[in-house]
Amino acid sequence: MISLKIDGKLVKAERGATILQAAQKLGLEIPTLCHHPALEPYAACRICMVEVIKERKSELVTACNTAVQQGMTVWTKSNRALAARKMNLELLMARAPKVKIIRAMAAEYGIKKIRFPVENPEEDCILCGLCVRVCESVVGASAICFANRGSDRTWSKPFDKASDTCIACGVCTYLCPTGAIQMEAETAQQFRERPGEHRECRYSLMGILPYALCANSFRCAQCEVDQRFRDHMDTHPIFVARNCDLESVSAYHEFLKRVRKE
Amino acid sequence: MKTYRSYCMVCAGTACVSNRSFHIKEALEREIEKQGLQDEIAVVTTGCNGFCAVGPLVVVHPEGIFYQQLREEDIPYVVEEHFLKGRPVKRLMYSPPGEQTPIPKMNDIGFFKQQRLIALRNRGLIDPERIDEYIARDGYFGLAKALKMKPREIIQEIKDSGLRGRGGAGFLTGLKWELTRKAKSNGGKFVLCNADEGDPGAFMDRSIVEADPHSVIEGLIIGAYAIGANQGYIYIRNEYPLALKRLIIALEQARNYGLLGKDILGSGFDFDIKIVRGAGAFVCGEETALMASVEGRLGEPRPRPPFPTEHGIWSKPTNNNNVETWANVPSIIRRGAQWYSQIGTETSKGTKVFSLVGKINNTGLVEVPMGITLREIIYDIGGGIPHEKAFKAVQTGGPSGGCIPAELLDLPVDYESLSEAGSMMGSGGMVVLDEDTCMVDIARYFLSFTQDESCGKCTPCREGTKMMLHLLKKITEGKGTEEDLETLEQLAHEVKETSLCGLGKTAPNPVLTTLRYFRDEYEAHIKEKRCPAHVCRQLNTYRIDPDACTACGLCRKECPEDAISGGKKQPHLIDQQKCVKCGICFDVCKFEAVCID
Repeated sequence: MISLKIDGKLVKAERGATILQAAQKLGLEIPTLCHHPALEPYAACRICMVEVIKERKSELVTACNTAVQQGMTVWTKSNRALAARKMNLELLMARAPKVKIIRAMAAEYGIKKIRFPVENPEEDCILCGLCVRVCESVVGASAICFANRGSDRTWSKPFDKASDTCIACGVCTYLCPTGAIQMEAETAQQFRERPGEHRECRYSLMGILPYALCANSFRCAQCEVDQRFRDHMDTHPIFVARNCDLESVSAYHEFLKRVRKE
Repeated sequence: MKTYRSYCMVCAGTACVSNRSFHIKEALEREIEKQGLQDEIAVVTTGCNGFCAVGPLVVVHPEGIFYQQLREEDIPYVVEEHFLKGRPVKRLMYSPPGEQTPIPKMNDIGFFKQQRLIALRNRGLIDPERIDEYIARDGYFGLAKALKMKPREIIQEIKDSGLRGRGGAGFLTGLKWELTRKAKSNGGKFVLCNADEGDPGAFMDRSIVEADPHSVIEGLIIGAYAIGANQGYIYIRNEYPLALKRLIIALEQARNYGLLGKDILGSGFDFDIKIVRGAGAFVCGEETALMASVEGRLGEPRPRPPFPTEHGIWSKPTNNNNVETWANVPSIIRRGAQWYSQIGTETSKGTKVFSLVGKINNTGLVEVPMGITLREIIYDIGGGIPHEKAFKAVQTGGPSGGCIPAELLDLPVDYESLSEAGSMMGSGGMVVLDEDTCMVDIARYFLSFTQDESCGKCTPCREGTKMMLHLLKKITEGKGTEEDLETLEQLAHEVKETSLCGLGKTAPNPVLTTLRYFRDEYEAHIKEKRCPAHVCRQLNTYRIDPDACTACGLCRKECPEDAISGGKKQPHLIDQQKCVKCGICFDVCKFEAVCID
């Protein structure tokens, strides 16, 4: 166990734990946008910046991916950390001024005026990457990706076409903090309209079951198979993302491997 | 090997090649044969000689006669006079600006005199496409020596030499090797050479690979042996076709000589190198993005730790150094740490290669000992500023570096001094700026580069650099307010503090240093709506001097807005209401009658 001080309070955390986890243990809230416990830290939104003082040197780090160290002193609301957080929030406000979660955070941090020009007032994606990452690392489908570079960066589908690998699980829409991804309805509709007698179940596409016919027209919530899996193992990607941490994701992948073998 | 009376070393670096140096070489060979001298005079194509400003160039050894700015039609005369009659041709030799007497020998020229060559020790002396010539210059002797040493001893030698990474950050190379050696791995380790040089105006790594590819390969083999890696990668950008070609040839030759592959020189050590070609994304010079790109993934940085020494390519420990660092390794092993550590300053040992560009007489590639002052580089080696203009600043470290003003010309060039001045060593670009450069505009230029090259992953770099560029544009167009300046400064500070990788962390440097040293220029743009260097056109007021105007009518004809009036033999006038400040009249006037107020 490692002991450190966060906002003046002493806390013990396991080796390898992040500052964010240690702070949560103390009930201290550090705001995040691109973080999810079921995914590897991405450290891209730069909202969770905290000030760390170590050997009399102070530096700003992201709480989501920085591991705790013995004797570390962390200030989650120091002036330096707050200034950094506010600037990044202001930049995100200029990018996506209508997004609820950003507006709420900005209000909380007392940001009243946006000093930067708003290019697209309708923009709703903040490029946190949750959809892309969950699709790759939890679902294993890689149906969503990023396209372009720098300020042109956007989320997309490979070659901007409806993805063949999408299983319409909807976990991307579930995780999206801003509602920018509304893919479930569209893709599920395509699934339903797919011609032929055999309409493949998403479990079959994921390689879990040799199940080839969906009787429920892809209303997975009503599906007996889906519910059965849920009872067993929380297998639906949404359940994994909702309840789990990284360990459960790997347990889930182990489970997938096992049933695929069977 | 056959020996000749004279050797003509034709520079075949990228700059000289684009100035037709291959044609010069053919003309030389043709003419030499015509005179029946082919058994006495050899023509050799070498890598970049360094003095790019006066290319295409030929150096005649053993005397070291330096010919510059050659044209094909000069060649018959040179061959006849120099090789047949023994009279070197004075008119094709180099004379310093403003002087009449030519300097015949290369080593007497100011540009070469103060240089100290280690990484570039073979430049201009060997044909980079022939391994034998590299070996004849003690090439691969360092490797042979290293293979008889214990890995621990090699690492100690590199540590003792004080060599620091030449890619920018200046991390101690020996320490990095040791960390990679100690890192646990279940399935191999890698060594990696970063040849993804992308700074505007920088061509150090390119020239090293073009002039002496084997020095990089030898460095990599030594490093791999010391670290315990059996596979190496060289990540080189595809826009460097000549470097790439020479590297491929060099690797093939090294393999044929048993210097790569199984059981190198009978030591039992196996190692080989693969080339990975980069598609030209600047961010791939950042090591975690580079490694992602090597794996075939999107070239995007990831947070560190874990550092690549533990978690690199395919999650295996990987030691990444840049071209110049690797090229220094063979000499250190061959001549010893003691020799190397005598050169340089207390904390920065050895030499550094810089590409000297911008408003400077001797554009080119220089290698100088650490601790040399900026003044020595710019005036003694670089030959000063053209057209007797005043020096204003030097931008070191490329788009991630900063502008150092004239007051700091006596600053010694080492890692610490440059970062204290707000700039950085970077990979070694040096852009010299004179009095005609607007510092706000130069900050805008570098920012436009970094914002374009940002990968877009983290908020401050993606959104922040875009907004910084927006504010800088506003200021250069004369629309900036004092509040904008305050916002710009605050934003630059936060982008530097909070960005994920080195690109974003250093992108604000040009803004921060120009604000630190040239704040008056920003204020002139904002408060007085005036660009002191007359670069920002939107702030210029164009006026026609009636005494100088010859009423030729050219400006009136070219003005896209019909803002210029005036008839025959009448001085012309600019209607300020109609003028859009495009500057065309200023550019076309042959009588310097259009002036800027």
